[in-house]
Amino acid sequence: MIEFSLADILSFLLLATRWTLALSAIAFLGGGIGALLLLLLRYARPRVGGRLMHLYVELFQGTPLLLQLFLIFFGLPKLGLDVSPLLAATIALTLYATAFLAEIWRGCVDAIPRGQWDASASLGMTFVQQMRDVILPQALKIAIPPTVGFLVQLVKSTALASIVGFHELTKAGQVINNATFQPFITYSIVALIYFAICYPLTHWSRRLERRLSPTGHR
Amino acid sequence: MDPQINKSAPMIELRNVSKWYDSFQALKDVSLTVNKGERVVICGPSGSGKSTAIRCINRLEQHQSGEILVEGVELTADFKNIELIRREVGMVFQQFNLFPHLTILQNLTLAPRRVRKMPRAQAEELAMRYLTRVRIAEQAHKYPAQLSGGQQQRVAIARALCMEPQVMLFDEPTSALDPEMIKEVLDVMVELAEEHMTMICVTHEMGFARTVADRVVFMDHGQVVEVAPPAEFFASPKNERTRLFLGQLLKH
Amino acid sequence: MGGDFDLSAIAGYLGMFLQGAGVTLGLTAIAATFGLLISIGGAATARWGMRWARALVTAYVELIRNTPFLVQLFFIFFGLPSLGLKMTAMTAAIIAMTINLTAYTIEIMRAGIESVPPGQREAGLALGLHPIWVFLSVILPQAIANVYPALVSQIVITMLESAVVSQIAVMDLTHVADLIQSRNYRTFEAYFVVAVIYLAMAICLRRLAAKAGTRLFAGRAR
Ligand SMILES: Nc1ncnc2c1ncn2[C@@H]1O[C@H](COP(=O)(O)OP(=O)(O)OP(=O)(O)O)[C@@H](O)[C@H]1O
Ligand SMILES: [Mg+2]
Repeated sequence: MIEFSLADILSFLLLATRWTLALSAIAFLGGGIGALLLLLLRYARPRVGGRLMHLYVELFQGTPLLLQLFLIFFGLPKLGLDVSPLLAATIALTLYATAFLAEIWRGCVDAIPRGQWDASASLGMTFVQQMRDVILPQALKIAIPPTVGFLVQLVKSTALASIVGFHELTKAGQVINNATFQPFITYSIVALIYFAICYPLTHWSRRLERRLSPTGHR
Repeated sequence: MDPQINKSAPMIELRNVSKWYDSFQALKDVSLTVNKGERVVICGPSGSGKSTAIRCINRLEQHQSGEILVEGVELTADFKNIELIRREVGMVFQQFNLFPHLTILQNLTLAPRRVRKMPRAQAEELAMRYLTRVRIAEQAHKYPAQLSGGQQQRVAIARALCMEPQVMLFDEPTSALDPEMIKEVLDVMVELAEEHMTMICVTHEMGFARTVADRVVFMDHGQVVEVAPPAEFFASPKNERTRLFLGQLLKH
Repeated sequence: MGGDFDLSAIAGYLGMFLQGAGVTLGLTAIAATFGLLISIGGAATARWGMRWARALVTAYVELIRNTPFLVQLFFIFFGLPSLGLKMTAMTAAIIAMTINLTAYTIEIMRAGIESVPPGQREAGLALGLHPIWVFLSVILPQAIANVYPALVSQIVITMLESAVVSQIAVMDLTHVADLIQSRNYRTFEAYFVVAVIYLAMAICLRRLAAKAGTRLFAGRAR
């Protein structure tokens, strides 16, 4: 049996961590764009858009991410589209992030008092002007902490990509474990790497939130 | 000025307007004509439909039957119409509704710049003129939360005036204020009335109604019950419900 | 792998699906029971405990909340036995789910406790109640009523996340789909049906909990 040093294990895991970070970043960006589109539809065409968004969120928050991933990984080939594990994971996580970000941001927009819509409407502003100059600047401020909080959830969720064979951090942990038979050390290190990514984000999110809550704005 | 607007028509005309919230009828066949330069006070018990009535005039609420005309232009679902009318109609709310993320000056210049496409310097000059009029120019660079309620409401009046509207709607502008601040807001409104601004004020400040109003409208249960000049309205109300309401007001 | 979408190939496995759903619900119920009980103690410790105990609770909560459930599961099932702690896959799943859920419910419970006005505690103490009774009979019921919806949605999240215990061969709902597709090669159909079952369970659980909540806490939540 080949002996692996701790440094070997660590560098192998850290290399795979790049994929965890990349997958998180892509899904976060894609999800952000998807969520904005859903929200635009919801506020511009409340009846259709509202129902569509409700359905979408219910579907993606009511089923396990693992099964969403499986359905894409095994479903797209049925339509004749060949998907790599990376592509399947990217699509699944993007759709998943869309649902959560849309729901979070909707809450933030709805938290803006109705008087702000009334006042800007009474001044003759159009929907787009109301959104851009009055509603979004206020909503954005309260949206940042929960958005960062969701980013933590998303980073953790990328671990599921290992199950369809994508070589990110968790998969690398399994590979190492199969070679070294040292599951305790291996999974401890894997967990610590996730922790090192997520904890600063959690901490940041909480600090932003605390800065918002006690005194309100200015 | 848009050619659609008819300068000789009454400023605002409500013809048999009805409005439902789901199955609840908030306005029942409301008719009211307000001429140019006229000042009308609306009063009535809580839930009688006063806010709903004036919010329909700039279409913050949508009525389901009847007609509302502003300077002869009928309010329909047409976006262009609504925006045209909202430029002509200013509104002041009970809760001020200033934009908390903008300074006082920015609150005033936002709509002139965006809606009237005014250059920034010109919009700021206009804003300072109105801030001076409501005696609050020195606060221009503060944020709304740093001002007292009375000051915020005066800013809100100036913000609406910056659009240089033909009509001003007031929805209980002094009800959310501490007693010592009511006068500073009423003073501004009286000055506005003296300049012959067309005004519709929902208020229970009967002193204001007596001195400023051309007519007083009493609403109850979504209906216009009585319309009369203030002297007549207060001295000899015709309707039983009006008498009851005035009796209760005077007891306070 | 088959061509078109064909649910009839799946229909014969109804019994297996039901069994899998039962395992998933059972795991969730056990984790929820332990998780809620432990988090009451954890939240009380976080609020009133000694300094070192508070630090311990915080460390636990942060460690779990900032690592993936899948890694926690692997650590418990593969890592702990190498220290001599042998266990079945089912036990590992229950432990992992409980540990994971508890980290979240401690935070929720703590927010609930903080939402009860201090006057309630003072009033209870002034009546001569022992502090423990003040906590159990005055503060806790109000705290739970205030955060009940958050607790329910966390339990639903745990149920959905539990799909990954199929990866250590626990016979849960997702694992049933794995088995069926290995027999009839109707992979997509199997996972589709299972996803629909999860959705139905999530919706039912939320509805039932909401109904129970309005009964339990009628007029009590703030
Ligand atoms: N958005 C709404 N949805 C449903 N019902 C409403 C809504 N807004 C107002 N109502 C109802 O319509 C009726 C009239 O309300 P409105 O706000 O016009 O009364 P008001 O005369 O302004 O009362 P107040 O003096 O309390 O401001 C009330 O019974 C109210 O409950
Ligand atoms: Mg009102």
